Order: sequence, then structure tokens, then C-alpha cells
Amino acid sequence: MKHSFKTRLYRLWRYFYNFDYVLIFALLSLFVINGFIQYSANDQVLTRIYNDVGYMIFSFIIMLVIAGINYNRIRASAIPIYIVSLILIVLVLIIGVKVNGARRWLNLGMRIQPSELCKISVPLLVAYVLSAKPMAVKAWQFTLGILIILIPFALIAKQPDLGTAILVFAAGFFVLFFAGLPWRIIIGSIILVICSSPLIWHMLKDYQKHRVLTLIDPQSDPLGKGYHIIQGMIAIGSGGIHGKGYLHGTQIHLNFIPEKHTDFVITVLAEEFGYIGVCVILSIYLLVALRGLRIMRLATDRFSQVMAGSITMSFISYVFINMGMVSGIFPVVGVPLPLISYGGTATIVLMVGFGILLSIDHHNRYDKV
Amino acid sequence: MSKLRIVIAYLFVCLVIVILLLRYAYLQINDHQDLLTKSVENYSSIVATQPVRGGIIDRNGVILADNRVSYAIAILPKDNNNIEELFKTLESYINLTALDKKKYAKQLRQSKNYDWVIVKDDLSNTEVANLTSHAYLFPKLNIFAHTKRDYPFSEVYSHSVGYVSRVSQMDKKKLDAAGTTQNYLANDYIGKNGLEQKYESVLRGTIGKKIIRTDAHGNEVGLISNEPANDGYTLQLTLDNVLQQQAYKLLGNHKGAVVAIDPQTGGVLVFVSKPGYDPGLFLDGITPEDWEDLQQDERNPLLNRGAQGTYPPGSTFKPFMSAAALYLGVRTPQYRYNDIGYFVIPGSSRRFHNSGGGRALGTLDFVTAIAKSSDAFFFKLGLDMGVDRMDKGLSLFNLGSKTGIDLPQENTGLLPSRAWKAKRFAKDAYQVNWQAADSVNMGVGQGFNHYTPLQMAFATSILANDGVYYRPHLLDKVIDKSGSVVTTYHGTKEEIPIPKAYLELVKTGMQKVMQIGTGASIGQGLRYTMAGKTGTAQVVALAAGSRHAKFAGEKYKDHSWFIAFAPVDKPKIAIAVLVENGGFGATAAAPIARAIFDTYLLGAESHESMNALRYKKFTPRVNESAHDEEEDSSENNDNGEENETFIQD
Repeated sequence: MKHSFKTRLYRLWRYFYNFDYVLIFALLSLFVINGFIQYSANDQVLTRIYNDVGYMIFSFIIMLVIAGINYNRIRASAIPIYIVSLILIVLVLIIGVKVNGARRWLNLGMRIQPSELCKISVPLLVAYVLSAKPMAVKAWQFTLGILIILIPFALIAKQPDLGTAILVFAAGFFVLFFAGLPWRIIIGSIILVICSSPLIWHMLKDYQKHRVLTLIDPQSDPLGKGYHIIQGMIAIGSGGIHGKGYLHGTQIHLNFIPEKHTDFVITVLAEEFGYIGVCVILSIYLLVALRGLRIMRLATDRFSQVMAGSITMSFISYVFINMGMVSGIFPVVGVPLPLISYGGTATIVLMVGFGILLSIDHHNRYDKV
Repeated sequence: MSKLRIVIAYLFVCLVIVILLLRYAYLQINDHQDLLTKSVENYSSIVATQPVRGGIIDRNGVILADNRVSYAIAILPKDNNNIEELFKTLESYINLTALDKKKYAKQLRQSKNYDWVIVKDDLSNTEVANLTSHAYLFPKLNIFAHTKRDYPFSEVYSHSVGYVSRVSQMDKKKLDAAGTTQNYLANDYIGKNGLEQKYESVLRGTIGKKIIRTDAHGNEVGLISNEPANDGYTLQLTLDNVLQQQAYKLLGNHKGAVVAIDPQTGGVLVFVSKPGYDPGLFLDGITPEDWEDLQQDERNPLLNRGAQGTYPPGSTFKPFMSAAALYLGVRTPQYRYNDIGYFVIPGSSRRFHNSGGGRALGTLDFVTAIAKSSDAFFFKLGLDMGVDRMDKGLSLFNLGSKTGIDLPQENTGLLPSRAWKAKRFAKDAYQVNWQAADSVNMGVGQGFNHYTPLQMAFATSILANDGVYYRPHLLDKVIDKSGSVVTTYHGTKEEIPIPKAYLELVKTGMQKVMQIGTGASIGQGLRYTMAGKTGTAQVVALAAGSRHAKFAGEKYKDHSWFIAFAPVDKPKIAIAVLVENGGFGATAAAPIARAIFDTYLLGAESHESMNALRYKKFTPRVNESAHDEEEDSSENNDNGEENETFIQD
């Protein structure tokens, strides 16, 4: 079938017209903010942020590409994607690169973190399983979903990378939740976890116990484990309402904050732009989350709903855990701040998620009209 | 999809944002001030910059106290847990004694956790070289140069210049009371004795405060503020090093004191107390062994004989007795008395013999009585004056009160009175009242009265200058490092009410001492006019008089005194010399005064050359910037080619 040039142009226009531009511009603004913050966090050395800018551009293109793919095709490839990510995780356990006692990375020309991949592949497969039949979800589907979650969860926890493992678990859990996992199971599980918490405590590694204890009383070890938290809190608090001004953060530029360009990047913003900066970034995150929930709400089939819900809720969870841990309300676990932390795999995976979200929005609402 | 779960999702998102907004508001608004302070504390550290302690120089600029560079090694105790092992390793590169280790342990007890503690000070050049070439072995060892007080003349000035030592707990209390604690650091030096103590605030200067910006690793990355230290001022003294050295030397193996004053100004020319001690011993806290040695030393080197040691004045008391008697009308200038070799209080049988064998001197007027040092004459005068008038008349010469010299801890001496005796012997019914014999004894400078050599020199200067006087002082000028005078000491001119004519009479008597009297042997060949008075003070009253003194041990020998001034018309120097257990005043003390007078009044030339050749002199830094330029240009000269581009700049 041949189309006239005009028809093609119209289709292209309609293709772009139907994107959720509010979401896209929100994400773009995060990238712009990221550029400025990374420039400050990297001691104003431009060359040091080229890599990050590269990742941003690359992940943005990936998002647009995925947005253009019908989500049903993505859904169809859930099983191979899941299997590939499982294989990579197993490979990590065997031939992974060990850094600081944890085996989390694979060296494939570039260093990648396969556990990040599970943040997409796990909810994808769970959603696939739960939406296998259009009628109400059966108990076996939930059981299978839980199994799909637990296998990579256990493998990642063994690396050890409890932070990522919990996020992978959460991503899968959100799918189950939106698919209607019975309340009695949810509440029952929560009670079970609480009751078994002493047991879990015993299973934790010493350093993990330490982190939890340090959170309760950071001053107990001000130069050791508590250092991150204390210095982070000082950076945030010393910023005040207006902040110390761009590039004038003393905590950052005098190296009091380790990992200031990755997990602790919010301290840069909070110190230099103050509470105003924090409010701005939180507004953007809120906007992104609300757009995601809107896509979920307007979706017409179960896969779209649960997938959109999981991606959105995971995203806001990252924000919560990262900003919560840096400001001292959670233990320090390795969770980057979405799209602001200097990131490779994490940024790409997040943007893949937004790609799927846009695809759901696009193909669900407009194509069917 | 159930509505409930959608609502829960919205609620969750909103809750997350609200929690984070509240948490960041709490930190950034509520805790802002507190955390801002902490962030400032994080990056700023205060570094104290030490002022350079001012020097002390004599009237001709000869350096008496100065600073020298000393190399020391120090550690932070918290960085060095295994101190035994460190010492063991160090021992192969430097000489570490048991004493060094003891000193270290002592410092450690007094220091705080983050203070540097000196392991060894005064490293030799070889030791410094050894250590620096093996510095990689001791990454936590700090080798640094600091200044230490240097006393080039050691014990000669121990009682006048004094010494500095580390700030002690007691000093700290005093500093707290004065509100100047913040001008000192934990291990600072502070003046402990002599002028170093008296003029501490002038010499010390003020500490500087530099606030630097540091990164998380403590590296200095910038300067926030710099309040430079103000160096201390240099004290220029009235002391004359040549005379001081001479006096110290002339005392020989005797204990004693020499104090010489310029009567025209009150400036002290000589202040010697022998034996002295090495002030350097105290610098870093005296060791218990050295302290024990000083304490146990029978010669008592710690006693400042000039201002603290008190002695009966013996016959040197007579000129002052004479002036007082004339002034109070007890005697007329025409009074004559027949010396029969002894004196008996009317109505008693006790004989008071003339010293030196009780020889009769015949009829005497005041002039001859002083010249020949007639005891009988003054025995009677003492009795006739009585304690009250003696007390009144002699206190005019400041006897029995502090002179007010600018040295810490001056002794008042003792000019006895009825009230004093009643108090002193309150429990002794027989002694409590003033006895006639007490007055008789006092008339010849024996009995209860005791004065310091400083008091005697001061009294002599008052007499010499016809009653006009300035209180004795050691400080002449305060000068800054560029050599300009900041302040000059101005004493107050004071005068005693005794008519000049009476004083002239006494002075004539004293001049006769040098011509026909007890000091005639010393007065031979004088090229200037000199007036003096010898004195021999009994240490113990021997039963049958001083004739037997030669059989007693050295320490029971009489003290030898001599007071003098010259030239008589317009005195430039008044002196008091005390030689403990020196015997007759004329033999031990008087030659010292004569030699010093000769040097001071005649030896101007040799005096100058002695200073120029032998002693290091204070060199002012004429102008700070000019000095810097000078330094720069000399640097350029040293490696001219390399620096050519800089010169063009």
C-alpha cells in the first residue's frame, strides 16, 4: 500500500503530536538540571561530564525509539528479556567484577550492572503473566508472578546488593498490587516480614547492620559509617532556603561529601540552591509521577495498567529512598536519584521504562481511537 | 483496575513528596543555622601565629636575651599508639635519653588529644639531617623549627633578666584573672622571673589569628582572614654589660651582690647577684634532678641577693645615721665626741667595743667619725636618738621599704621600730620592750636592722645626689623591631627633706674615708673624686668580739660591705657591694667598687671596644619594606641569571 507524501507527513505529525509532551519536557528539564548539577559536582571540569551527557542523549533516543514501538511487541518479548537478564545475573555471580567486596558488574567492553536490567525485565514478565488472560487474575498467576520476582531477587541479594534487590522486588510487587493481589496476602506478608525481622536481622551482613544502626544514631561513628549521613545533612541544612549559590557549596567543593555526583547528588542541589531548589526538583518529580499515574488510569488493558503503575511507582520510590537516605531518614543503600545521579545503566533503564510508559500512552489511547 | 488501588497510588505519590518536603524543610529551615555553623566549622580552621618575643639589650645595645632557632620533632599522640616502638626506631637516628622519654611522658599527661607533643627538642644538625633523609619512615612525625629563648650570658643576668618557661597551671590562673589567656597557646613560653616576668606583656606581643579554608582532608585551600601577630617589643635596659660582667667576675668565688645606680636618673647600671644559675635550665621545665641540685646548693643560687637578700648594713649605716641625727636635731654639725675605744650605757656595766680591736680614736667630729668609722661615736648616737627617731630619720633614705625597682619579689628589709619589736617578740616578756642596747647596736648598723644591697645602693644614690632621687629601675626604653623608641622610662623626681648642708657634711666624711679613713688603701691614685663607706657586718655575735672571727669557719665570717659614689660633685654612679663572709669591707667589697668606678668613669674607650669586639649587638631592622627589597636583591645576586626575567618584571 502506497501512501502519498502528505499522508506520511500527517502520520509523522500525528505520531509526535500524540506523545505526552508534559512528561517529555519534565524529563528534559531534569536532564538540563542534571547537566548543571553534574558540572558543579565534578568540580567544574567540563570533560568529566561528557560521559554523563552522552548517557543522557543516548537514553533519550532509546526512550523515543521504544515509545514508537507498540507496547504489545514489548510485552511479547518479555520472556526472552527476562531470560537474558537472568543469565547476565548468574554470569555476574560467576565472572563479575568485584568492587568493594560486592560482585555487581560485568565487564563487557563497558561495565554494566545487570541487576539494573531486572528493574524492567521482572515487572515486564510479571505483567505478561498476569495479563495472559483477560478475565480476573487466577491464584496460579499470582504464584507464578511471585516466583518470577523471587528468583532474581535472591540472586541480586547474594551479590550482595540489597538495595537493588529490594527495588527489583518492589517493581514486581507494584505489578502484583495493581493487578489486584488480594489484600489478605499483602497484609499477611507484611505481618510475616515484621515477625521475621529478627531473623532477617541475623541474615544481614555486618556492614548492613551497621548502616541501620548508624541511621539510628549517626553520631556514634562520625568519621566512619555515620560520616556520609552527617556530612550530607550538613550540606542540605547549610543550604538554607536560598542556598549558597551555584558553584559555591563548601561541603561539595571542599570534598566533604563522598559520592557527591552519584548517590549523594541531591546535596549539591540542596546546598547550592537551597530549599527552593529542592522544591523545584520535587515538583518536577511529582509532575512526572502524576503523568505516569494518569497514563495508568487512562490505560485500557491490564498489561498497560499494571506496567504503567509499576514504572511510575518504582520511579517515585527511587526518589523517596534516595532523598530519604541522604537526608537521614533511611539507611544508606545504593539507590541513585532518578535522572540526576551520574549514571550509566540506571539512567538508560529508567528511560527505557519511560519509553514503555510513552508507548503505552501513545498506542493505547490514540491508536485505538 | 480497582478504584481503591488507583487512589492508593496517588496517595502514595503525594505522601512521598510531602514527607520529603517536610524533611528537607526541617533540615534547611529549622536546622539551618546549626548546620550552617557546622559546615563553616568543617572547612575553616584557626591557626595561631606566634609573635616573636622581644629581646632584652643593655644600654649599649648588647643582647642579653634573644631568640634562637631550635629544631624539634613532635607527634600527635592519637596517631602514634605504639610509642615504645616509635622510640625504638627513632633511637637509631637520634640520641634519645631516658630523660627525653620522661619529658615526653610528662608533656603527654598535660596535653590534649589533638595537641602536638614534642618528642625531642634542640636536635643537632646531624640529627636533623639523619631524620629528614629517613622521613619516609616516620610519616606521622613532624620535624619543625621553633624559636627558643637564648641567654648568651647565662647566669650573669639570671636575677635581673630572669627567664622564661612553659606556661604552667599557676600561670594559667594568673592569665585567666588578667583576661589574657587567649594570647597564649598550650605550650607557650611565659616570663617566670626577673624582667622577663615583669615586662611579660611588653615582651610577649600579641598572637595572630589566621583562619584558613581547608578541604575534607585538612589541606589548606585558601585564606579566609589573617590577623597578623604583633611582635613583642625589645627592652633596652639601663644596665651596662661591661660593668655587669666585671662585677660578676670580681666577686670571684664569693657569694654576694653588686648594685650600682645612676643617681641622676635612677637607672640601675649593675645588678649582680652571685652565684646565679643557668636560665636555660628552666626553658622546657626544669628536670627534677636539676631542681634538686639548685635547691640543695648551699650557695643558694636561686636567691636574688641584690633585691631579696637582707643583711645588717654594718658601718655603711653610719652616714645615714649621721644625716638623720643632724636633720632631727639630735646633733649639731659642730658636735664632737671622745672615742675611748668602747661605749657604756650610763647606769650599766656592759661595754660596747669598737670593732677591729677596740682602739681608741680620740676626739672626733662627724667627718672624722665617718672617715675612721668610730663605733663608740655611733653607739652613743644610737642611744641618744632612740628607736623612734632612728625609725623616722632612716626611713627618709627608703631603708626598710621597697625601692620599687621593676623586678618581681623585692624584699622590704627591716628598719625596726618599737611596734615591730613588740610584735616580733610578743611571746618573750624580756625581749618585748625596746632596750637601750638595741638602740646602741642599731647605731652601728648591727642588731635588728637588715637591708638589701639594692636598698643600700638606693640610699647611697639619694645621699650622693643631695637628697634628690629617682627610684631605681632597669628599663630604659621600649623599642620596636625597627629600632625606634616606643616609650622611654620616666621616673618621678623626688626629694628628701634633709638640708643639703647636712648631707654635704656626711659626704665630706665619706670622701675622707677614701683619703684618710678605712678606705684609704682603695682610694689611692684616684683620678676622680670618690666618696665611700666600708662596712663589716657581723654574722654571729661572737662572745668576745670579732677578734676571734678568724678562728671561726668561713660561713661565720663577717659580711663585707662597701657603699660609694663618684664623682662627689656630680655623682654619675652610686654603688653598694656586699660580699658574703668576705670579712672586712675594705678588703673584699671596696676593691670591686673601685674597679667598676674606674671602668665606668675612665675606661670609656676600652669599654666601647670591649663591647664592639666581644658581644653580639642588637641590630634594628631599619625599615620593613626596605629590608625586603634588600633581601630580594641579594637573592637576585645569588643566582642572577635564573632570576633575570623576574628583575625585568
